[in-house]
Amino acid sequence: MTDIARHWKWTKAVAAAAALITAPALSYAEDAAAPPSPTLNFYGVPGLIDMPSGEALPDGTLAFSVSSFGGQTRTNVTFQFSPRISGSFRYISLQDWNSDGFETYRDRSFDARFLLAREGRIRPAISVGLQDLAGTGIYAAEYVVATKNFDQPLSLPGRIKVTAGLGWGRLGQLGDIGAPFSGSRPAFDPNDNGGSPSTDQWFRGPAAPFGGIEWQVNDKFGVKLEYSSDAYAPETSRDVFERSSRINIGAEYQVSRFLRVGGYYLYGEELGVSAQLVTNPKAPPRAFTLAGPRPVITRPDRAAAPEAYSTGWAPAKGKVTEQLGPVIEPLLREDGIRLESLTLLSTARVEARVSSQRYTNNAIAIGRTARLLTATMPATVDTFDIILMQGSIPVTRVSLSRSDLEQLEFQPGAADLLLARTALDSAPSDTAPDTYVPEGLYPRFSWAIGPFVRPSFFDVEEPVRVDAGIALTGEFRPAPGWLIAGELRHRLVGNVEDTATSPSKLPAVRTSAPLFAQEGDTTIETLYVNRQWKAGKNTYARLTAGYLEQMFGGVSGELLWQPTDSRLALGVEANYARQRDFDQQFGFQDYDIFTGHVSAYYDFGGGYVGQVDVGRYLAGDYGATFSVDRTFKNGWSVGGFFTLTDATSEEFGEGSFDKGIRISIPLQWLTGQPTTQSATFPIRPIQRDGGARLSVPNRLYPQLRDADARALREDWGRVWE
Amino acid sequence: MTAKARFAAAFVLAGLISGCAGGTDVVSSQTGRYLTVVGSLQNGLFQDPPELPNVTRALLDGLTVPSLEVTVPKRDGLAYLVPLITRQDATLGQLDIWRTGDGTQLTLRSGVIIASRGLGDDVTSTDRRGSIAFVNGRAADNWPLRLDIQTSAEGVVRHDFTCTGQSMGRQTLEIVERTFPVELLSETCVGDNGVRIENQYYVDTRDGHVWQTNQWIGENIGYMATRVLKKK
Repeated sequence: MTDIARHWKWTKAVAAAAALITAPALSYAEDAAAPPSPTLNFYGVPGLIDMPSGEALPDGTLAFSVSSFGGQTRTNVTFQFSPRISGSFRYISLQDWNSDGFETYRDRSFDARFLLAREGRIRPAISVGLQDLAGTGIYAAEYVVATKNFDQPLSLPGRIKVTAGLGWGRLGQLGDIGAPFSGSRPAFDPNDNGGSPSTDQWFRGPAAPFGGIEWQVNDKFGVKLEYSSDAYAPETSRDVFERSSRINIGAEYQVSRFLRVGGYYLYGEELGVSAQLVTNPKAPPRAFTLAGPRPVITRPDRAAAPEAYSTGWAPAKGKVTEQLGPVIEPLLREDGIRLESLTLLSTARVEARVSSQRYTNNAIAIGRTARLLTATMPATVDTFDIILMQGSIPVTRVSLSRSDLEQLEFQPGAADLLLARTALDSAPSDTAPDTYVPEGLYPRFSWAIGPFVRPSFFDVEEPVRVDAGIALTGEFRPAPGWLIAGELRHRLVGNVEDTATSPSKLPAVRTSAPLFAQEGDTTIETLYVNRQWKAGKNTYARLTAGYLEQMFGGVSGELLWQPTDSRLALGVEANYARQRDFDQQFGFQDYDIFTGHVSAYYDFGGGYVGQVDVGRYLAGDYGATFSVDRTFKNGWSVGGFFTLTDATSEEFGEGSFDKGIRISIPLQWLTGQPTTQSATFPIRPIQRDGGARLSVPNRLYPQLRDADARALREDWGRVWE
Repeated sequence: MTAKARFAAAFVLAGLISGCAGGTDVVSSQTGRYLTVVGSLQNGLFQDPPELPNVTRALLDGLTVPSLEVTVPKRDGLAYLVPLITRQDATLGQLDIWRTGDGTQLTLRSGVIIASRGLGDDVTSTDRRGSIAFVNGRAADNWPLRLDIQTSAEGVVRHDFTCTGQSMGRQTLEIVERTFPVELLSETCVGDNGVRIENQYYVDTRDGHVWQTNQWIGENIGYMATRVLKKK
């Protein structure tokens, strides 16, 4: 037989085959009515060149940009947190500052923007923005700005957008119209600790108009012209650069779907450049693909084949389980699913405990397990209890009717129909008698060797420092719930050790990082024993002991109350931590502390999760950490956090309090191949000792959330994949 | 350091940078993540694409199983499928599930695409009863069409359309050196958001068999063309 069905690969060879299709040209206008994504200004927010515009980026957009002119470079990250709210973080360096104790002035700043009105047929898009809202104030400004798009105006090709706004602070320095809200604002102080929201100066002082035009000539090429209201007083007074005009012009080119570059002439004196890298979690670079599942095998009709429904095997239930288990286990393994146990609870009900390291969305593991059970279970078995395990902990029981699987797959709205008839509840801890447990499930050992990098951001002298080397990781699972893991590192290159140590009024629990880098080339990054288990119907427990992180070792205990279908989860964690020797081998230093937190997690829906942790931090300060993350169905997560403790801003030092953003990118988004792994990047403007929390591996909530009933419901459509 | 020692050091370093792993689980460290990405890139960049057969009438005549050709212009895609299973559905009637060698599946009824699996951005489920009736010559004046598409970041996204159909006349369709008398049926659908799509079906005038189609199955895949190379 010649099997020509062996290949399914997208290829240019389609051209010949497509020519055979004589269908007329077809069209589908994708978002024809929607304007293209706004371009960014030098501050990394929607805008012209140096001035902001009124539009918002598409929901979920994550934009990285770098701009430079007149000896000043701005590196920006902007995230469109919701359709109306966005936040930006910025790191800047200004060369030739030569005053206030700095040759080159470096700083970090945060912005927030709110879209007041979406663009309508007549109405422009209107945004209000706070620039450098919590920094030392060099870029402190507020604005209200409107932008209107015009398609092919005056018979010109492309699209023109017109922007006009009113700015305060830095944006109210040139051509001001007075102070609409009166008041004054404090002068910029380069040596201020900064970090706290500058509410006393928002929209105070003089306001000045600004505006401009952007002409997007075609899909690739655009030009910009703007009238700036920024006098650049701190810069020009220190001879960082000269300014002789309020007019800026520029041209931009869209290199690819993600990358846009531009060249500009600013303030009548300076050439500038920018690069904008704009991505969106909703638009992966590679489509997520997964080989099709096994078909649902339907049972013969009971009337036509009554013998198939015989329950004569009931007395030998255990033996049947022992026969079926070894058949099912390797087939599930092919699908990236680990069978942890199989039990025929009765002649009508089977329980399969499964886990997966392949699927971010556990509905896929549920669906594929159920499909296999339709092909292997006796016809009398009509209910499949599939129990999702996470790190050996049973989390959620999904009870599916076999008849529903047989009947619903190709019905309209199949996913909703199946979900409506499926029960999701808390998984029982114990298995019934006569359970099949695959051989080789325990003990298990895994290892990996390869490179590592340890970045360090926003040092006062360098924006990024990096150590790199080779790491050896091992994970040993001797029994259910037990994990012995460790990582050995050897640094080959790097410059984190060159980071200047800065004095701290608190115990140096994090500011000692350069000392750890200086004294450790071959290091034990982690080495710990972890035990976790289900302590009650909705309660989970964890104990961890050993070298928990690079700087601390100790003992950590955690209890988490997390009903599988609840928005709210509560946890308590208590730790005894002791600072490790700087060489990061087996020794400890004298500093130790009892630290711990009470935590509340709340799922607001739509992917928004809030978290509050109240307790004692590593430096002995008491306070709370507040965080909000937005998680997309494909696993992307972007969020922000801040910590307020009883450490004063003077004790904390530069930045006043701990805060930052964190981005987690699922690797399957990058590769298009299924995996549960993700890369997480916490970005802090500065890491000080106040509000520093012990880093403990395997905290429970992040582990278990993907397996709870709410997570399953959120992307249940994949149960058919 | 001698040349041999330098070579050995470079070899060891290259091995360490490329990394390796073993055991039963995916290691959760940074190194484990790195190896996952490297492995995916290697699969994507260095795997030879499979050779596609040169489809001739002689080849098709030698086949012992039916064959379906599918193209997706938006993805520059071409695939050949064989039947996986045929099943009776209580309300939809007979469904034909076709598969590729690597497990991608397409479910058809009377040539109408009901579902896809393994393509990425798949058709999770549909309501295409009106389209099926149209192809089978039992069209109403207009009918609903619903596509539930599994997207990467937003879960299942529903597209609802209202459709009308018309015959574009009889013609002769050639498929790999063989001709068939067909009627070209055109289905025009307008979505709730004003989007307009057009599906075509080439239906054998003798027995109603659908030989060839062109159907829109979502924003990311766009149009998918099917062509029966060898009939069941």
